[in-house]
Amino acid sequence: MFLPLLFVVALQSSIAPELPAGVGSEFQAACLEVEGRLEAKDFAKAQRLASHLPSLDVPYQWSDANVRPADRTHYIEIRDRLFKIWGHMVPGLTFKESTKPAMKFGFEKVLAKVPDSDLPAGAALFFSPPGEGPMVESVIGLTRGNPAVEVTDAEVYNETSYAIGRYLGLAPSPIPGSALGRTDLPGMGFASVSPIEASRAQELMAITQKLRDAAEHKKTMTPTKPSVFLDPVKLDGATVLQGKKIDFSLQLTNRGNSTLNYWLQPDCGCFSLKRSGKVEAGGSALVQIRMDTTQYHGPVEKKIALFTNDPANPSILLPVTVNIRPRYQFIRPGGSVVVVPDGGANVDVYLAISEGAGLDATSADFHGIAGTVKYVPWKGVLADPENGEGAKPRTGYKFTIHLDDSLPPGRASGTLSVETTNPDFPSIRFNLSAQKGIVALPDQLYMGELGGRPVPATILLSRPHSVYKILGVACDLASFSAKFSALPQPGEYKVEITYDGKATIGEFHGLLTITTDDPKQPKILVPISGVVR
Amino acid sequence: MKIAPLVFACAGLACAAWTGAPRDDSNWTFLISGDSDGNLSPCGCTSPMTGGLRRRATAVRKLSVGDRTIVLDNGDNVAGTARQDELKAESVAEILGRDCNAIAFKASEAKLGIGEMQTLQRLSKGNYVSSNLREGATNPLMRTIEAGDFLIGSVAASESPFNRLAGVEPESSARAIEQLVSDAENVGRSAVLLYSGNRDQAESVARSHPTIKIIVYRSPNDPPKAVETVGTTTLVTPGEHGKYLLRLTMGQTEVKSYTPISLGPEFEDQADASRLYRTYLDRVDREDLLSKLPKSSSPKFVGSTKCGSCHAPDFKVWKLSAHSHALKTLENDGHGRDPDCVSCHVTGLEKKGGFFSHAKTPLLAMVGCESCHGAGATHSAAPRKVKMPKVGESHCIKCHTPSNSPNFEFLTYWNKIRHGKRG
Repeated sequence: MFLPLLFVVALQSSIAPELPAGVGSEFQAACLEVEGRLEAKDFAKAQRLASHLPSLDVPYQWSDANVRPADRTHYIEIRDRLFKIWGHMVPGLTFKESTKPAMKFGFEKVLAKVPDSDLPAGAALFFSPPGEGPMVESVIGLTRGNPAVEVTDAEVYNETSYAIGRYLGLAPSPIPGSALGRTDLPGMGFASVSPIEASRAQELMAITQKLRDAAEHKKTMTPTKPSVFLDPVKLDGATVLQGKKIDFSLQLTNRGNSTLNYWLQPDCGCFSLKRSGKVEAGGSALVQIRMDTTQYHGPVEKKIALFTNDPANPSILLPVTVNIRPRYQFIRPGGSVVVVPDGGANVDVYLAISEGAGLDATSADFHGIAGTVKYVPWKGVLADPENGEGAKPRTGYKFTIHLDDSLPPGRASGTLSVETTNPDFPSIRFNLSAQKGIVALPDQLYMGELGGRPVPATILLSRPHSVYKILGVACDLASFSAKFSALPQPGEYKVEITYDGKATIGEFHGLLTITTDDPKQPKILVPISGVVR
Repeated sequence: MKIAPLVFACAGLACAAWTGAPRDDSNWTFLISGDSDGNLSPCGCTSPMTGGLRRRATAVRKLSVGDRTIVLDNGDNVAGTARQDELKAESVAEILGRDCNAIAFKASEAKLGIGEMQTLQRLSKGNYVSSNLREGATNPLMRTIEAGDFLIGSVAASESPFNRLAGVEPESSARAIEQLVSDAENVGRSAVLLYSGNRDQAESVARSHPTIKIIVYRSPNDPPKAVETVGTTTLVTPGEHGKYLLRLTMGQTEVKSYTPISLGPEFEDQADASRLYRTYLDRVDREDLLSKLPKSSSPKFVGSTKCGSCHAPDFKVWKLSAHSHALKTLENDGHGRDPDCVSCHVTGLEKKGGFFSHAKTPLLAMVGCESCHGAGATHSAAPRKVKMPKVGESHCIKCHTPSNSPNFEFLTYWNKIRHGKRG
């Protein structure tokens, strides 16, 4: 006889439904209040409070008296479009105009400034306790920014959508571009309701329905109060070599009475981790976080945001610090530009490899310019001024690139490509510029977008340590003229090209011809391009 | 009635007065970008992708406060010295030149050489600044730029890349900073330093030169959420990869407001910047930079259709996957000939027998079987004799890097293309 009775009692008393992570604190507090009344068996009050929880039937009021008459119809269209979108994404959600609204929308010319900012709020959101007005009231600024500019359709849309999301219990989102990722800044485009936001809203509406049912059927409930404890509270990866994958472990302990739901949001794609999970009451979970350091060097500080359904800690920021040593450096004493004399040149490029890098060269090739490359293991003392490093002992390889006499005059780019044994850096590259003879700098002249005004441009001509003469300059484009002058440095000239502002609209491509007294380079051709608008 | 205090919460907004305040004309608003490292488009290292010059231009237009706005860019907007980097630098100069008061000419720009220096300065409408470079016959840059109540200078952490750039030895970075401070005092303005040092170096400069009003430093991290000050100097950074625009409002003596703005998809592409970016892609295409990429020797590629003749079930899985139309996806986005992107959307781009162009190598114009398993000609000719290697996660992450594929998780993604005996 006793067993069925016990079963009935057990059915009537249970743990309240657990909330997901990423729930608005106001919504969470309202649910806890209902659950508290259910626990205390104060069913009348629980029922009254539960009737004020958000539901799929949303009575609303739209007060647009402050909106310019010309904009009113338009804003209503925006509102109705949003009601339709939210209704589509949260099945069953309907909005009905009412004099006893759960949601109220209003407009003011300008709102008060956001704390610690010179910007006015784009919208203000007010939450009222049950029975004391609309659960959510959104007041949208008709101007925003500093100086004030009129609110745009996209901003009215975004603020209305944000208010609906908050009414449905969602927390503000750190992710820009989503419905809950609002900002007070002007100039935003339309933000769409994300599938995650929609599915979470569905989940929350199911929970509020459960609480209403419990109150109606007088079921006692123990409030869900998960409590998160984090260890460690900061992740320190110490000093590592670039490319190393650092594995961190984060222990989440739930000291509360119900399941802890969490969701992790890193601020960098360099982390791989399972983004969400659950920890049972009294239990703990280890979250494995892997950080890929391939694309960084130097001191790096990233952050992982942890969102939970712990009412006391809805979000926690977890700093991750690591100091990353470069795995290798190419060093070319004298810079990456090589002046190649007649007869060719040998160019030394050093590959300095950090200790313990696990990186050996297996082959080397030189592309882009006719040349050969040889390499040998190398050890020596070398500075790397480009990275601000003085002379110090280094180990690695010395590559000798031979640029032969067949290199044509002018400027050319080549790439030293080194295959390595390291799986994270299987192929590493170093770019080199070679200059031979008289060189035009730049060797292609891009004029950009031109209009109806004259625009001057400059090309420098250089052949270090060897004197030559320019005999003339000419451009084959009708709207361009060119003249040259010698610079103080021997072997250097300046060619000034002037666009007269009169070309027809459209793209142009032409050639500047520079005539010299050098029999090896009697003509230097410089392509000119741009567009006239 | 007992009411949970959170129920009254006001979503972080001021709940008191409903009135705006008049504009304070002693304030200056700075909009600061930079350090994009060649990321002209939104960077894939976050999801959703953030940053990019087109969104930045929109944000600058919307957030400018009339003539009390100073727009700065901290430079270092290219990451190499190849031809594509030159094209990028030219587009950056043209786009930033439309709204910036001063653009830092940093080490990465200096490495492009004196010819590009001339071009960049012209395209930027004279807005590049370098305090490292001394005046010379071939130096078109400004050493400092006056804007509002401020004197803007730009100093690299090391002067080495500026060696012989303008025919004269560069000013040491320490001396260049001293000169900026002294020049600012002489003209009765506050110094603003665009700096390529890191946070610690910036702090050290602030301690040695307390009259500098703002130091913009370089950082591989996102900008701090709250503004940092050292004495009376404000330290800020636009962070990595051009993902943020900073909005900093300075009063007479103190910071009035500071907002790091993540350039997410809610910022539309600005029309002029979009047109100039389109021109950049057209130039990359016209110069056929894709065909000029270094290629290493390899066995011959045969294309996935050939693989499918024996491995029909696997071919069917592949055909339904995003890999099978990976280049098409890129072409639809306008990046179909962009060397920055194509290697992860075709088969064997960096191999001599691999993808060359959609027209010449149509069978390789996608991420095919041989993208992961390697060139298959020898296996195809003698399948029993030559076996193809088994591949795993290490092959996926060559393209599914944190930057390109921030949500990549091997098992989830493997399930989308599960095939072979393992499948």
